[in-house]
Amino acid sequence: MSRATAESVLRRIEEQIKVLDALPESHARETARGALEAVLDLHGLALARLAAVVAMSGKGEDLFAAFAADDQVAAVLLLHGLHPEMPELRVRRALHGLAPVLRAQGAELHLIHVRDGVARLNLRLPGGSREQMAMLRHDIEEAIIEAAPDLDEVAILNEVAHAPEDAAAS
Amino acid sequence: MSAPLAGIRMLRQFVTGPVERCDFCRVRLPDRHAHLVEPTSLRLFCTCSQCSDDMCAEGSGYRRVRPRQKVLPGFELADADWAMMQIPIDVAFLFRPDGDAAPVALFPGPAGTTRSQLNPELWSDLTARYAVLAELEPGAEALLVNRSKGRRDHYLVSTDHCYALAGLLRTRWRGLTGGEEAWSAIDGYFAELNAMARGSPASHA
Repeated sequence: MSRATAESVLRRIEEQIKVLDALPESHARETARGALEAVLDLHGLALARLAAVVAMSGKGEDLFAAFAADDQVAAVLLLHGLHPEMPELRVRRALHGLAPVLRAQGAELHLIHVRDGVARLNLRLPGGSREQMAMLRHDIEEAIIEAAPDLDEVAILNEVAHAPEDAAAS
Repeated sequence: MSAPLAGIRMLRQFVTGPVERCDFCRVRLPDRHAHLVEPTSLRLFCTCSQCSDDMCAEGSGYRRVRPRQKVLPGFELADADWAMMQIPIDVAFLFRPDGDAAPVALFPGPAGTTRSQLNPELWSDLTARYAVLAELEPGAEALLVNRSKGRRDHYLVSTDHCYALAGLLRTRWRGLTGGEEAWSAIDGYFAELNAMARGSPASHA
């Protein structure tokens, strides 16, 4: 299977979900949602059983590492919460990758925690303009979501503000 | 990971539906949860009970919104007074200003809720003649006026009701005046509000 396969399928899913999401609430929309939920549940149950069998084989760690490294498989692991790496680990890796960009702008980013489907971070950009801040937040959110699409939300809080910032959930 | 993974997130979120979280600490919230309001902007925040307590401290700028829905059966805002407010839609929430802030009306519109600043002198005059306006908790309560389809119904409601209506209309509103689907939803909203007000324990003016 070529690399394009999972990518093109995921793009198709993205396109179709965008269309469904934009529909007004209706019986049809709810039925579509319900059907998708049932199909995901079916596969989720089966995958959980497969994961249990793999874990019991004694080669679980290696196999799961191989699964996670395979683009065709990794997306589904993430979708069903079966990825061998916890979201926090992947978030930290993404932040590590961002370190040069942050350093170049004099920004400080702290991961507070990854809990309950949310990554919470504090961002300081001394002397930064609104636009700079917004762009930086966007880049950080993108990097984290790419590394951990199984998270519900990335909440980047400006350290000085008292009011809650809008979360980046999209 | 090179595959574009946005599709996963979108799929999951579409299937699960929107998850409400505390605006302050992001913990997941049950369907029934507390709300705080920032009285000048009238911005509503969903909170867990812990943050509701923590954020309501003296001088914090947030007020607790206690759920309230009361029909005002004998009450009627005169046509002339309504006309003076120049609200283009037959349904509006009138808020008592907090401190020196300008009086504000919120009403449904294409962008969700439209905010209209009211003339402070007009407001003072209205307050002098309609006692209920002076009794509203600034930001946290509103006089809800329903003049659609010839009705003259008035309610005292907590601010969360305003945003509940806005949420209902978000995907239904068409054009400037709303369209059939929106107004059908508004009818449903008031039917439910009436039922809620009947069911809730008697509150005293």
